Amino acid sequence: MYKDLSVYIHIPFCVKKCNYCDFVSAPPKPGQLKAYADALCEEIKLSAAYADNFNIKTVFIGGGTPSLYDSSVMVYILDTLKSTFENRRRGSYIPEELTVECNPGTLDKIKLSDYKRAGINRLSIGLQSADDKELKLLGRIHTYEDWEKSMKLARMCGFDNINTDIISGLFGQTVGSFEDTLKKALIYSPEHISVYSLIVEEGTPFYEKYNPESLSGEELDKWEEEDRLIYEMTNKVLSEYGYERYEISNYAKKGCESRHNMVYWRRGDYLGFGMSAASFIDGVRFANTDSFGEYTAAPYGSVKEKETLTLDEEMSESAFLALRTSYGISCGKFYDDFGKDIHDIYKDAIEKWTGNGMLIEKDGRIFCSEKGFNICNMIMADFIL
Amino acid sequence: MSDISQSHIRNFCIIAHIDHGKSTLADRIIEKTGLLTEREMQEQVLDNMELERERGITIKAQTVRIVYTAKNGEEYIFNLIDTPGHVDFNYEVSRSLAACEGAVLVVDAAQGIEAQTLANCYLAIDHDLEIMPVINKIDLPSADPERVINEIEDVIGLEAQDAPLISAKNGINIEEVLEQIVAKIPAPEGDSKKPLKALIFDSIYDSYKGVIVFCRLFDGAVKKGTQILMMATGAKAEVVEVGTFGAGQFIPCDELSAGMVGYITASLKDVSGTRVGDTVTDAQRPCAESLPGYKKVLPMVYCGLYPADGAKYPDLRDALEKLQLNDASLQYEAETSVALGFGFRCGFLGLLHLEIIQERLEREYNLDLVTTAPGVVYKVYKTDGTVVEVTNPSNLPDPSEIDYMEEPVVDAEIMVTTEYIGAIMKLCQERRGVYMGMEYMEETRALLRYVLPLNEIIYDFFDSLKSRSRGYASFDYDIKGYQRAELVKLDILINKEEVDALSFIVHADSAYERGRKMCEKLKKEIPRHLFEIPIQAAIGSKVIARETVKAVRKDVLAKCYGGDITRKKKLLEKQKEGKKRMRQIGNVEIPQKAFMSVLKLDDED
Repeated sequence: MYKDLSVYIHIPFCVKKCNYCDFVSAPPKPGQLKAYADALCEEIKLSAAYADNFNIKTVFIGGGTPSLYDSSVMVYILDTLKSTFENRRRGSYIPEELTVECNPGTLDKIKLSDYKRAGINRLSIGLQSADDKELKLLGRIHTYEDWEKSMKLARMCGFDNINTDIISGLFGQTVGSFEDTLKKALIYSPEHISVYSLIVEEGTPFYEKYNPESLSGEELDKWEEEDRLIYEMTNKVLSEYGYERYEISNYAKKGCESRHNMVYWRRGDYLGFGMSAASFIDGVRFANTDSFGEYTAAPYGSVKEKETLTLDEEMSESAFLALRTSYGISCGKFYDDFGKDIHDIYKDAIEKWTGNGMLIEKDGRIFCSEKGFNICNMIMADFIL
Repeated sequence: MSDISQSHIRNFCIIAHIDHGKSTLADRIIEKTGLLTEREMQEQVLDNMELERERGITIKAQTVRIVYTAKNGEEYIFNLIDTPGHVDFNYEVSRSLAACEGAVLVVDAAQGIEAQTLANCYLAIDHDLEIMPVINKIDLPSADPERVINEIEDVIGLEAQDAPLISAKNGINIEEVLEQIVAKIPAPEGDSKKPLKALIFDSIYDSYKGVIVFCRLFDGAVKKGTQILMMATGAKAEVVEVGTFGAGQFIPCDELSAGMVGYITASLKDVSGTRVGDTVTDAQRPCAESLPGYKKVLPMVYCGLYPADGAKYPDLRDALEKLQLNDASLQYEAETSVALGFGFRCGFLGLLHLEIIQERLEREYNLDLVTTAPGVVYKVYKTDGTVVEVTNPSNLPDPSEIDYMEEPVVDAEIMVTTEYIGAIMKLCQERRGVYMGMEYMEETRALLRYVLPLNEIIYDFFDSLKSRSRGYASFDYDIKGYQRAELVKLDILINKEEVDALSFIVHADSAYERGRKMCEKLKKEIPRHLFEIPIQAAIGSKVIARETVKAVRKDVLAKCYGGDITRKKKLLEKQKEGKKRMRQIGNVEIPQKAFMSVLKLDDED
């Protein structure tokens, strides 16, 4: 019996780092692109042992901007993955979902056709905002028009499963301006939309500008209130357009939920390749180094942290990750996994949060109400043992 | 070692103003006498509590026995007792002095005589000690040993012309100090053949040895097997071990005899049987009368100490019991708070003492504590003619039953360089001080005298004094007595519920200001809930200040990029960790930090 495996491949390069970004990504220095691709392929090849037990179901190539690479490199990386995980008994290797993250302005027809041929069947084309002024503020390299072009091109090349990322909660954004962004995105009917509230992370240019301490109480209150209204409006508008919220920040048309994403919430096994990539295999979490030098010097075995989970940690994760999804925690699955009644483990938390309507228990599931989603951190923190 | 005769023993302590280099000199003396090699020396050997090293101050008196071969070729035993320098710890100094014949007075060659130099010196004179001045830090560019020598002669009246000029830090002229100790400090008197008479000047609790009694023998001798009697408590026990003090360790020996300083362990299980200041004698052959002991010190500052985790109440009780053994000035009694549960109302000598005890409880006994606002002992004259003493604001009678109230005041002496006189006078005025006079000690230094209410100085007076004088002012005080004052009890209501642990007594004139600051501070400390939380300060039923903690509208985790679950989990764990340190009051969770925030209301000044 082979177990399902999801693969994440991290591309730590972008044309220009966005002002809010605190991920491991930067414009490539000369020679880095090739060195990194070689290192990636080496890491993949040296992971061949996993092929004995696992069967790849989904692949997500994220970043950074993976589409920065010439498509031949992308094909080379995917071929390496394929030859490593293919074996005679199982025959050919066809992941159900193979996504590449792309930035408008880095796509062309040839690249997209190459992607298609390489088996890529899902694209994530980040819009972030349909307002060019906001895009500039965010430090994005593209305009709304660039995104439109990319969307048209992708459709033309036959991609019928496209995600677009949108960021909400920018300072100065209003319900009206955000609704405009949403509607402009909806013109191209992406199958999947991710809406993230901006988190102002320390160490980013945004932090200098908008760190909570530098704003007055009044400004903060206003920003926060607008942010919440935007959040509620988003849910309303997207459901009118036939999208279902299946996770805190993810909306999809029926059947177009990202399988790869769901693996994270359901605590399936996944293997990450590349700098800073996180993995979760057989109850052990580990992640690669953040350093380019360290990674390229020894791509396989550059693990910087490794964590074997205790039972309490497993239960905590299982609960808080499931609470991110609209489906929520399945009490039956919790019992199957841990041999314990969830009500015994989380008696106080469940009573407290169902009591005030933030959580709902129904048909053997425990899930966040719409209001609960707004404050889910507070709820989830109570599910950490 | 017992073959060294009594005439070759020197029992002495080192006294100084804080920071004048007392502990450093102690280190050098230990180093020079060869007890430790230089490699073995840790910085400041005698400050062996972690806390003391960190703060660079001496809190507990420490004792060490060293052997010195003098220039005359003979061996001497030095029993050196290190003493604390801070005003709060005078009682410790007093204990140490009672065990000595002499004191080495360390004076900073640049700063000269400071408040504690004088205070400690007078204490030493009270105990009939031979005082031997030493001028330290002579290598500082600003050193002016001539001026300081004259100052010692003029102000204290001590012969100081041949005082050793040293640098303890750089080891300059330490031999001279050692030789003078031999020459100037008298050998102990006392008769080893008389009945045992020893003074307990300290004691600690060791989980293996039980109570360890530190004592100075005045007459007689004690060894393993001696039946001892504690004259005040009446406790009897058989001696298990006697010994002397190495640097940070106990060195057992056969016998302690008259003139010696050492320790005794006995089959004493009960901590309460040994009291510092008590006299130890031989149960079979008791001495006629006990030693005078020390003046009992009265706590001046009170606050509530509560275990953060209610289940740790018995642990806190045990810890206090053991600390008290080692610190007779600490007092405590059980109390209950609606907000904080079971805890203790504890009495301290001052705010630093409070902080030290709190930190020692946390570090040495691994307790997590919540401290309430410190207060003093108020006298409440009731309309029915009775008088009650109030240490806990919650026990204040109803205002309708109060005729008037009195608060303790102190005679404060502040030594300050002339340029800061204005700033310090302003500070004293802000703290309701009454100006009593000023004397110029010399051209650049003056002594300011004020009567100050004690509750105005227990918070952060010392810090303000230092910051407003750039460290040049020093301060000493004596309790003067009680004085009538317009006092009110300020209550804090969180989400309309009074939180007893946050109430405090304050002068009517500063009530509004304090109330406002409290509310502002609490607003910052209390996390947002799902509902709005009003924070109010009230006198009786009259609300004098209000702030609001807004409701949480949104608290959502962002995307999990590339399945980085660990990072998100850490965020949630942090959030969870924060919750653990909360107290539930009604349906509001208040972080324990908030209870302490009232201690530092003057931060922003």
